[in-house]
Amino acid sequence: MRLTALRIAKKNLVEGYHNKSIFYSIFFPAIFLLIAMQLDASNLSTLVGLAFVFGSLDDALLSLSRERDSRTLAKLFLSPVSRWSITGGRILSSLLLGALKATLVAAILYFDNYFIGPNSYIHLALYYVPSSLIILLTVLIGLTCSVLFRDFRLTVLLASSVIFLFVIPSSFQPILQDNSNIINQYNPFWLCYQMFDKLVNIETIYSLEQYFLLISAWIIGLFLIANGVMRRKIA
Amino acid sequence: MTEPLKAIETSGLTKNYGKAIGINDVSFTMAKGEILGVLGPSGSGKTTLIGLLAGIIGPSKGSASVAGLDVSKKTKSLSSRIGVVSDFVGIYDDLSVEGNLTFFAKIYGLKPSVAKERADDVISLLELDGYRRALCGKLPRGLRKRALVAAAIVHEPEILLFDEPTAELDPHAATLVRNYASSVAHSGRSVVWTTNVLSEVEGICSRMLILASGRVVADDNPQRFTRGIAGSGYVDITVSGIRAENIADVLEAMNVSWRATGENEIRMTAENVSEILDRVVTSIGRMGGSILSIEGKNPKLEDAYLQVLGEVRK
Repeated sequence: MRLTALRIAKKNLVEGYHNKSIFYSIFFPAIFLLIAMQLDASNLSTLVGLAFVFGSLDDALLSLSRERDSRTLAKLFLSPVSRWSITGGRILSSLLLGALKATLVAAILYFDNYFIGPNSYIHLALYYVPSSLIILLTVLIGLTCSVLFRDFRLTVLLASSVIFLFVIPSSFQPILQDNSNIINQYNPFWLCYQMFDKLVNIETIYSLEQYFLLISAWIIGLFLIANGVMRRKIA
Repeated sequence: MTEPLKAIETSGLTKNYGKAIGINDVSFTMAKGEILGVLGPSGSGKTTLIGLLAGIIGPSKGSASVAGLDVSKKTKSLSSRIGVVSDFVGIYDDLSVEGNLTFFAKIYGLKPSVAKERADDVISLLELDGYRRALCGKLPRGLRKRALVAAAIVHEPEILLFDEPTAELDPHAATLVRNYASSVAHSGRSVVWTTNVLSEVEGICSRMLILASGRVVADDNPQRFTRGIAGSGYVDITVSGIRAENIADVLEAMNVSWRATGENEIRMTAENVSEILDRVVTSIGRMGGSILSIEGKNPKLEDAYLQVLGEVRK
């Protein structure tokens, strides 16, 4: 299963290279952040989160739907590949791309002196955790919507609505430890913003585990739903 | 465990799309090494049958087994035994021909070196050498279809489910695919071949099904079916120098049925009319007669096919 997921991930990356979407995916978050920081850097951790969400939209909204529309998903279902490998491969390629886009964004933050203090390298290393989590969340919401609905347009509309519903309203709320309402306490994107905030703005790392656990629960839940709902009979 | 002798077996296979009928109560068996042609007008259920046999669609009723395995319990073992060309399945437009083939070969469990070798074999078999690095999405339709066929056979499946595999192909490429199917059957593997090209069925299929409104209306060998429905072939011979009755003795000795259609004209009817024609011509020469004209008509599958469909419509 692991090897097959790797092969599917590699195939996804080669496809992305040929249709140029890989370049959008890698470079857009950095471009977004550079422009947004010029306008208002006061809510930086939210901007970082939004950059990764927007940079993952192609993987989240289009990848599986496109695969179903071109009938290659049916071809995969006809092969001995398991559905876990199909979603696993999609997630793996998103994470590999995510590492590249996170590095570019980290470089911008580093050269703008955001990672400071005695633990700056640990912060920098830990910063890949919320980056990966927010990318995973975005992609998994898209995948789950793609397996729930067959219609391409409906899938894109639904997935983008759900993602933006989680992402946009909470991004207007200033990030303070004590101001989150009950909705945001369980909003995984908001929790990711909090993690970024702690890594970028605060010199001590505390209570990251609780965020990590809650976000992981979301990710595992979405992954299970996506695989559970994915129908083998898709024609 | 002994290998099943039947490549495919269906029993009462039915698929409904809401109130519309896909196929209705289709039962047949298919032996290994057979090429089964499936004919029928558009909407008769050919593609649905392929989808059901491939396990892409679930049946509403009835059962089907392919290579001895129940298609409704789709297993890895079944997946690796079948190769499907159909509108149901596609290839990656943003991968090259070679990229597609090696990817599919690998996910079917072939080792990377073997996958590369198989991709090369299939590329050369379907004469795609000049396009191996071309992106499939940028290929003309005919070449893309060839790549689609290549992707279906790259893992050397035991049973091929080909849904109009030569549609969109140029005559040369269509011949390549037909030759491949014939060679597959000679090696003991099996092919289900749906088509609207009747000459393909006559040329390569050892057996054929005709579907109409989802039902099987004929299941026979193409030549036998044609003779049974459209009758035997006949040859009209016009002679000079001898009378028609003079030939009668010769024809009767050969067990050929005949009738005089004029003073110097005779119509002979036989299943193997082309085989005995030489002997008839030689005999007429020996009797001192000469042949003014020979005109023959072999029964065509098309005639029989249209006749059967016409009867079904009534």
